Amino acid sequence: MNDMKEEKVQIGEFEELVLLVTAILHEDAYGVRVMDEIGAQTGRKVNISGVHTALDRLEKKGYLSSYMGGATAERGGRSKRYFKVTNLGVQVLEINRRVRNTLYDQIPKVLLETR
Amino acid sequence: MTSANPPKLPFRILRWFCKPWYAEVIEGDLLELYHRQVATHPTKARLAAYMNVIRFFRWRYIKDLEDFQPNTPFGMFKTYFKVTMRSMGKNKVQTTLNILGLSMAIAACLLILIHIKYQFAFDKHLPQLENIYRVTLNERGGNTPALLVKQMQADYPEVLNGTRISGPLESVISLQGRYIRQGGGIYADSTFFDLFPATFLAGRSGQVLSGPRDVVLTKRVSDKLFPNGEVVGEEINVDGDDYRITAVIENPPATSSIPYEFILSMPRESWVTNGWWTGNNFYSYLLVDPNANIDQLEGKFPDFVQRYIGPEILGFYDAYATLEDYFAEGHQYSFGLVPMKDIHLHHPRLSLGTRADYQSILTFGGVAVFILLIACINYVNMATARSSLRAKEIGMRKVMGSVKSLIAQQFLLESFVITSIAMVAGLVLALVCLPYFNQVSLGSYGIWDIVNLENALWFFLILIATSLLSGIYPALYLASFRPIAALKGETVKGGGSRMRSGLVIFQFSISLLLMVGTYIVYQQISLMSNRKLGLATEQTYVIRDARKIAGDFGAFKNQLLSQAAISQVGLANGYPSGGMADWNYTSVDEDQIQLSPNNIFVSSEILEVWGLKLQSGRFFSANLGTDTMNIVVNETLVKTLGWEEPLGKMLGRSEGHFKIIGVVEDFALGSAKSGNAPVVFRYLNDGVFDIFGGDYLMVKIDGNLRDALEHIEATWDRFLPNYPLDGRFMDDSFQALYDGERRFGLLFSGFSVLAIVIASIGLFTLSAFVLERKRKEIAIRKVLGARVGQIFVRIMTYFGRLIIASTFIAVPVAFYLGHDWLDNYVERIDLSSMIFVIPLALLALISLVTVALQTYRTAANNPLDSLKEE
Repeated sequence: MNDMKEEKVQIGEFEELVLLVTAILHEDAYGVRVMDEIGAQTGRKVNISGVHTALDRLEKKGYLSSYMGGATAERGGRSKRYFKVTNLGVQVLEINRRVRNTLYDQIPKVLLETR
Repeated sequence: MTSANPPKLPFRILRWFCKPWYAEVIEGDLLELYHRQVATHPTKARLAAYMNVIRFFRWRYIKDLEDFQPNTPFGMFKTYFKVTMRSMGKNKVQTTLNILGLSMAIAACLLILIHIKYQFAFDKHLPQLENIYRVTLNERGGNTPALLVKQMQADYPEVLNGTRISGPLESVISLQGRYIRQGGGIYADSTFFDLFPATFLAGRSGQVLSGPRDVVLTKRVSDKLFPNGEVVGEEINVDGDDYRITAVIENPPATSSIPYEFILSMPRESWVTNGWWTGNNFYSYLLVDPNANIDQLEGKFPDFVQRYIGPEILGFYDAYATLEDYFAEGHQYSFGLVPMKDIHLHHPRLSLGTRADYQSILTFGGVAVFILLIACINYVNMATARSSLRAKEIGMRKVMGSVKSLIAQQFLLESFVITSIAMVAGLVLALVCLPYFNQVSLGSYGIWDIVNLENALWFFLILIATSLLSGIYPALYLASFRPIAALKGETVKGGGSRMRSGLVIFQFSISLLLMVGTYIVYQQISLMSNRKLGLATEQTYVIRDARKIAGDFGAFKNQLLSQAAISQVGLANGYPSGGMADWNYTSVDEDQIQLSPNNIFVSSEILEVWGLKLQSGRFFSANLGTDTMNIVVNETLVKTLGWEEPLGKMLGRSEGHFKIIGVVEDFALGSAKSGNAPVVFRYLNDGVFDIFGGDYLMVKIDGNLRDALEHIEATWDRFLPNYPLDGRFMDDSFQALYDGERRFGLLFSGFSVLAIVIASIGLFTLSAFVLERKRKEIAIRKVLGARVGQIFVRIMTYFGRLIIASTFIAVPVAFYLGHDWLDNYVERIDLSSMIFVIPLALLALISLVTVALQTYRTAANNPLDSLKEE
């Protein structure tokens, strides 16, 4: 597998958040669940259509893959669309984390201690 | 859960705009959110459902074109279309030949269609067409008395208006020293435009023909005579009389049965203003009240005859006491009405313009249909023959759930696609052939006569009819395959072969019918052009307008005779093939037999000029000068009267009694359609020259043609400077009588050849296919010891049998139709067996050659090549 270059990563702030939450939820990531988890973890109130759009975009970029399943009565028998983070998605998460940590580590200690 | 039921509307909206695949997931999520909230905040939950649906109205979730397809048959059509294209691509040669045959047939149909449409368009431009009637005499005669229109208008209130016409004539118009020959002149009453309106370009529409010497010019003539400047009010001289131009009008359309070029007012002479009731010199057109009963009006005509014509007839013949006695002798005198709208097609003799031949119009309509049928049969035969190759596809479709009607649809679409391509090609082909078609059919059709909105409907009809005719049988046939059998390959027998044989027999029958027809027409034309006329037509040069040199005839004649190639010059007021007048005579004996022979005034030289043969007695003599009361007759007249010794017998007319001094052998009078008729020659000397007209100068040429013609022209020009000479050989005049037949023959043979070519294309592809399927059979036969010749004969026998079968259909039909057509002619060919044998041999030759080459190639192949492929 060819590794991803840092400069190739194209991901928005909200998309990164959705990607992270999807990763956290692992086998249980679908529209409503992702929305709930974002609310629970960050307190941000997001809209279901926004979540769908972000998930679709991430899938198109290749960071997520999806499969259907898990119809329940409360969904009127409609299938859920589960999302899974792809290897590429994992790489993106790692790259982003590394970049962030590298940058964080270079912040002068003074700045952090004056808080 | 009742209160928890989610609202339907937002989800319906969602499903309406959203792609189905997304809608499923989104709907699920929205329902989940709704159910979570509905217990605590039912209103909020509802509102949220609406809001969320609206929020999902995003480009990426909205349906695009693809998403609409599964609900319509277009998706299926798309695959049918694709399969059609592929199967066409797979059999390029057969597809091309199929399209070629269809497009040729369609081109022929289009050309015949515009021809027929043109013939049916005649006189349709007249606003009162439905109410205009032509008065006929004795059922078919077009000439009627001078007073008829006026009297009928006076006697019958339902006759609203009427006009008399005479002509058309060839005139010489002189203008400022120029002479211009112009045809299409007619004389008409001032009411002419009430019945036959025209577009006036100059001059007032009323009263334009009311003066005694008024002339109305059409634009064409006006442009010719006066290329620029004011026209109305000018004077022109027509055939010696001065006329004042009162108006200029648009030319009538080409589809007019009165195709005038200029209109002269009726002369103010007693024979026109009053005339006599038994003198028939005018065409009478009546405008009848639309509410009037035509049969009732016609029912009043016998009384009309009794009242006005009766007295005059009884005045002529003292032998009859009453008109009833006259009729009792077998005489006829009655008037009838023919609707103007029927004149062109059904009463061509009454037309003043081109004469239609309804029979030939119908014939060509039939030929068009037959040609199209032949091409359709090609398609049917190929489609069913190749069915075995499609069997697996059909079986597969059925297994996958397709039903019979869908498969039939597919093959109909296939034939529609092929016909559409052929339609476009046929249209192009028709446009390319248009100039040649115009030449032969004497039409003047342009591109826009074919390509126009009205024809678009016809094209569509032809397209639908053709694709149904060629597609419906193969479609039903193919659709009826049983899927399992088809997949197993059990229908590979190339089914429907009996049907195919039947269709090929049909094609052969039509081809043979058309070939025999062509052969009959050409044989008849050849007979007519080569028949013995009893006249020296090739040596007789006929010059019109002999009156012009009336005063100088002696000098003119001597001048002509000075050229060695000119042996004699005579005068006549009519000539065979050129039209002659019927005059009534009564035998001056106890029988008082009345007859209407052709009456020709001739000078004494005519016997020699025309090359007539004297049977007994003598011809007129210039030296005696006493022949004015003598006549010469032909054999037929003598036979008609049943006289043993005609010389010295008398024929009477109102002018006096005429003594027969000679009898000439019969000679042709006109077309072979009419037989011999009685002829009376009267003597034309200087005294009657002006009255009965030496209209024609007859010059006998015996030697170098060119010298003679040059000399005639030079002499004419010396006597009549600038006056155009109008001369032709009598032979050409005779041949011109058969122009109609020649054009018919040419068109007919053209379409026959087309039909045979299309049928041959079908035979070629069909035989190629049959042989391809028989390749293994032939190979095995060869392996088992059959010789090439035996195999060849075996296959040719199959096609030979088809030809023989078609003979039994085509020959009786051809015999019947040929007999019917030949009934038009008095002098006619016999329908001998040769007439059928020659076309049959030709057809057999064409078709066997088509098959033989392929058969031989297959039969001569090395059997190993065909067998080793397993």
